[in-house]
Amino acid sequence: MNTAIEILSVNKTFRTRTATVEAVKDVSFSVQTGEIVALLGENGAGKSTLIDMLLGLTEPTSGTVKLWGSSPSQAVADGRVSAVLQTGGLLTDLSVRDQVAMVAATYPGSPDVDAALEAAGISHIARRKISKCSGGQQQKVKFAIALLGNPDLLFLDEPTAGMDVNAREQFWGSMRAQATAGKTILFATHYLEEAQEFAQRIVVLAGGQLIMDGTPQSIRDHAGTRAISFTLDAPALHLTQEQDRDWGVSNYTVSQTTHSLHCHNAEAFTLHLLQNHSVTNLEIIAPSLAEAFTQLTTHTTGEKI
Amino acid sequence: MQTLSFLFYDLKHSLFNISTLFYLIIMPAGFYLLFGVMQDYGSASFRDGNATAYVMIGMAVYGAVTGSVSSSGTAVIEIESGWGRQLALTPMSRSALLASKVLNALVTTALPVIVVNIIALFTTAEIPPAQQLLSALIAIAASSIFVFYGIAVARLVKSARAVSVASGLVVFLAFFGTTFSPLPLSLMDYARFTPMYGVTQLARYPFTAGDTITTDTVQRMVTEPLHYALINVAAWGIIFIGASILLRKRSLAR
Repeated sequence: MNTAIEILSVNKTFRTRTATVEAVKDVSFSVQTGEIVALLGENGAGKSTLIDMLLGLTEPTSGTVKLWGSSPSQAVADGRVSAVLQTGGLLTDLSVRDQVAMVAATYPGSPDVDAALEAAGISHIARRKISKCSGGQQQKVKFAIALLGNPDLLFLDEPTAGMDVNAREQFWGSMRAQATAGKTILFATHYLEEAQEFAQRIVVLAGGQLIMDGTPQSIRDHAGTRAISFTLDAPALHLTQEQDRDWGVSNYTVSQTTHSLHCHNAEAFTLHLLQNHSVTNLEIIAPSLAEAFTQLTTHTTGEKI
Repeated sequence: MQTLSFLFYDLKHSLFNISTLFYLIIMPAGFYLLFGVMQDYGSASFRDGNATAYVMIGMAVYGAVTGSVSSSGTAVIEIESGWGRQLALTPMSRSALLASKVLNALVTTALPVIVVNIIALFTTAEIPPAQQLLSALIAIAASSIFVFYGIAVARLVKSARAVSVASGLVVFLAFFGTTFSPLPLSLMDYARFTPMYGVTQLARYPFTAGDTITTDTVQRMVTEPLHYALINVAAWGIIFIGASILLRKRSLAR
């Protein structure tokens, strides 16, 4: 496997009249060919700016971005890379088919327009005017356009924005087909379920910084906190201050004989618990990705302030 | 070949829709029939032809200028509204895009001129063929300065309304540039400084040699020297190009 995307110490600063905005701060990571990576972050986290730099639409203020060892604009000119952008515009007076065919005319060797319409699931609206298409349908038109050059690498910036649940499912279905065909895919989203379901790897951005990079599972693990509950005969649980602190125990509540708490080091805590008490109904619950994500991002922004 | 195919769809989008065709074809052709063919003064002889031909050239110029403004304005608006980003993701080079836009402007500018001139052949306009051809070519060439006017207004207004604003202003300027109808003598001194005057006078020159009809009952004609028109086109050309460059810098600085 070779490296498709290489991002090295990339910074991007915008100057406005009143302030300097650091949209991306010292981000480094690489993506292997064939990987499916989700770029997860809230609005303003730097996702779109990063994708713009990966496409050569803007230059990093410092650092380097390479796609298979060459510059993004070279990779775009070679037709190896394409994208569905949030801000990409379409010509509203054209029909769906004409719009796709027009972009097809920019590629060498006349790509198959009908195949692209089919793959994007918009064959049935080929004659509809773009202006009469819903936001979700327009996203699919952009997707069809992105497929024209049969690219090796696809960037998708909030690709399912404006789609209803059915359309979203359909979209990821066609995207899976692309992934099976061996394409490398990097998509930005703030829908956690999408990242969790579709990506093999999640890169979390917050405030322009990369704060986590791993599988959906490892991100949940890293966030660490487990919710633990159990039934105890004794009315109270005695922990020393050191234990409290080392295991990160918090939110301790007791209702009758049911005890519940949050804990960072669930392993050490439960070992202690089971050795010293007679415990029934023990439950250890890992946080959902949503909770993990909230923990991660609030933690970082908290640090910053 | 690929660029031609791209151009075909580009024209299908920018030119072949009802509102653009109305401004570009129906208005100039209709004005020609209304103010050139259907009026009594149309049959009055004028140099080697008649007054209908004089009106015809003015309407062709109006159509050409509207075409230049609409093609360039539309191009700026669509490129800045995200279509440019979409195209930046294709292998199409910037020079190929520019070439297709220049061709688009040329077709859009020439179409109303061709339509009005062909209708003139089948109606009462009388003008020697060589003069008609030369007039038509000058109308297309000279109105190209309005490409930059379209770019400048689009960069200033920055919305889809820009093209209607720019085209609307062209109608107003056409009245002051002797394009639509003859002016009173008192207004001629001002007309020479307005942007449509130069293009109109240049395009009519092969036919009129500078003779310009006025509404004055005594002095019905003034002869405008050629260099007035040349200086007017050059000056407004520089102003429009300069404005479009300055406004580009402004939009880049954001």
